[in-house]
Amino acid sequence: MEAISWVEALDCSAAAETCSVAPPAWLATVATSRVAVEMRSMQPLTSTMLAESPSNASRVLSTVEEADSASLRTSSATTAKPRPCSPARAASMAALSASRLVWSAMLEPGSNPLAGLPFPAVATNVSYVDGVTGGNVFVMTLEGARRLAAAMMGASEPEPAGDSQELTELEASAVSEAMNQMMATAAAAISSVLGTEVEIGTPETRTFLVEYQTGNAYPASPHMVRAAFSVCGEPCRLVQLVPNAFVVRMDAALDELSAETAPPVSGAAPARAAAAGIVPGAPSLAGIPVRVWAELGRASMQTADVVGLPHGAVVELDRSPDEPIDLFVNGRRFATGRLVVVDGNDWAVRIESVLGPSSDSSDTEGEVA
Amino acid sequence: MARVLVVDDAAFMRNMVSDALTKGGHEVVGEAGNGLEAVAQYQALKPEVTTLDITMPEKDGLAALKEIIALDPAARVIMCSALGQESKVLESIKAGARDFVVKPFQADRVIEAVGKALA
Repeated sequence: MEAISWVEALDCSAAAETCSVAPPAWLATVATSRVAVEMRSMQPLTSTMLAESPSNASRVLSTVEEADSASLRTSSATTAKPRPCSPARAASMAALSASRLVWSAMLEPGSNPLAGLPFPAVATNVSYVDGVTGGNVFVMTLEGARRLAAAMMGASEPEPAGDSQELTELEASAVSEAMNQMMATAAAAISSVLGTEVEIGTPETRTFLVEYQTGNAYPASPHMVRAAFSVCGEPCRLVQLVPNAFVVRMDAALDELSAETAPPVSGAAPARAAAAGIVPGAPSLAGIPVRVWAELGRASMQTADVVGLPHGAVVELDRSPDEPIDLFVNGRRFATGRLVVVDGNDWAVRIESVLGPSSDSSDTEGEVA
Repeated sequence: MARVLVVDDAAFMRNMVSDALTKGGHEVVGEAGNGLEAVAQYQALKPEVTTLDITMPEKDGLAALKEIIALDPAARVIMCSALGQESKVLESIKAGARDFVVKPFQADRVIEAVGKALA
């Protein structure tokens, strides 16, 4: 259970960072970020995805990346989900390895979640039908949908479709299945936070030729969160339609979760919380456990060199002894400081500077701890 | 080698499961796209093994599983679903499913589950 609550906590911390941007966003993003986590877990080279992100989105998403690596380590504890290997999974890895998360934002209440897309567009809707309420719309260009379907079927290129502005039945089915699997993962994540069963409905895939067709396609929603990224080189959007009831449920569940897991809050915590952009006084965010590690330096090596390291070998790091070391919190470079010894026998880090929330220096090279 | 009924609402997924089973030397004798069809096909075809999705229109896989087991307590049913929550797995096994394969799956995993169900 320890590992499970830890992964949830990381999800929450990913959400927590959006809190300073728009209050309801952090709640709604819990599920959406988990989807991103799942998508990223299909992709080994996650770090490059952040390279061109606007800093704000990157703040959110880089934490998602950490949740990703955490979920990889503890996946057997969270669900019985096997790691990728099926042709479909391998293909979706290929398809999604081309994707790059570029932006995540709240939409105006009541606005059209599909506005401003290139058309024709293909949209797949999956609703929560039990446990929580709300909808999720995965929308992409017609070409993107064709490429995703082809990749899931193990083909490198979609079949030539001529002037057809419709997906074949099999293509639509493959796109539906991609969304079904993503949302099943989101449902499992929400289910473990709420401690209740969460079920999803069957996916419904539709093609919209022009924007005005989308006007009343999906119910108006008081909150909407949009994550934009690309699939197979084509723009794509995941929109979560969030009813107020969902927000209330998640809020209560996160408060309960933090009450269960909250360690005694040390004196330094409020300052750190403020530095991280977490709104003070949000009780559900104060007790989330985070992983902290210090990094002395890095080295870049080829696999063959690593494998061939003999006992007693010396690996040079990229930092001199008089430079400060880095302190990471959940994968984010959080502060720099000096390595000291406390009580005569424990290593410690004396903080010299805490990096501001605008610092975009997430751990792009991999983990050291 | 077994005669298998494949049930999933996504045609794509039925293809994937059928391909995996055919490669594993099994014969796919029928396909169904929802729980109602699944029960009807089960009665008509009497397959040795049935793979059953959970999230489906008309009648979901758990309801179909219960009906199939009521019709034939010896039915060998393997759940094959993306909805891998523990409660779903437990409910399926309690209702008589022989195994539970979480999507996305490895072809080998499906073949292994069918093999175990036949043993």
